[in-house]
Amino acid sequence: MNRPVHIHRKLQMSGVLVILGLTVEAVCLLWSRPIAFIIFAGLGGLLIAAGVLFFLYSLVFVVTREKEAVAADKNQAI
Amino acid sequence: MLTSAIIALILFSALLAAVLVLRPTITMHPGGKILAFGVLFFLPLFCLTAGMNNEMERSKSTSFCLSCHIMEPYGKSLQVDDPSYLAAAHFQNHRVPADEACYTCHTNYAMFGTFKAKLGGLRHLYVHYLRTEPRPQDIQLHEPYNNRECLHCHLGARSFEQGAVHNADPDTLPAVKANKLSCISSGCHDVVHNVGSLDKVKLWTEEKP
Repeated sequence: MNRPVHIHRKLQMSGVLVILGLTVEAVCLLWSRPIAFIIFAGLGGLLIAAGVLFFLYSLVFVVTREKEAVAADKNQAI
Repeated sequence: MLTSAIIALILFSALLAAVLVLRPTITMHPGGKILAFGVLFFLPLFCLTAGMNNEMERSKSTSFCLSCHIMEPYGKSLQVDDPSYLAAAHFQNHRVPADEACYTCHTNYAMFGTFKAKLGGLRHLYVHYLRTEPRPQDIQLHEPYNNRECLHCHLGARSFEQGAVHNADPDTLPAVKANKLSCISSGCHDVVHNVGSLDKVKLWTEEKP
């Protein structure tokens, strides 16, 4: 029962990182200064990359762990 | 227009991501899973790529370069009413695109030239924020100006190839083309920006139709 909640938390965290990254990018696009370019690439890009990687991490590892847990449950039942 | 479209797409993506953050249970259904993939993978990367491309294009603009306070005298030097001022003559006569004047002359027309120009820009920011800025008239080029940047446009042009001064000595043109005789620092076209003497020159004002 805890497993879906576990992946949902990870998706929420990934979503928050992506929203923060997108917000930074939108502000930087409105602000035409050289420092905005750095913040866009550095902070915005970093937040989006972190969100996307966290999403992929949660997909790969949470699903794998769920499958392992299901397999372990089956073994115990046998 | 393009910037507005990208901002609209970014806001739309952020809105969809907010839906996912507030209602993560929608990912229990196939449609929700597709939405999660789109919102947390495809759209952010697409927005990042489109935004980066837009920023790179914008960073080529003259107004972008001149938005730094220290570059103001260089912007002013483009308005000098004297054809011997190389930068001003090129800018005012549209020998370079007026909206990308700085980039056109200060990029490197070799492989990775744009990339090197951006790295140079990063160095400017580093000096601006973390080091003591020089006075505008003390700013030096990272490396001697390469004739290749001039020849990118002038090579093959009649005024360059058949110019009287260029052909007065048969060794001049080959030396210029081989970058052995500098266009701007050999006493020929050596008045470029000369920001130290701008208070003594007359400025040209563009008449808007």
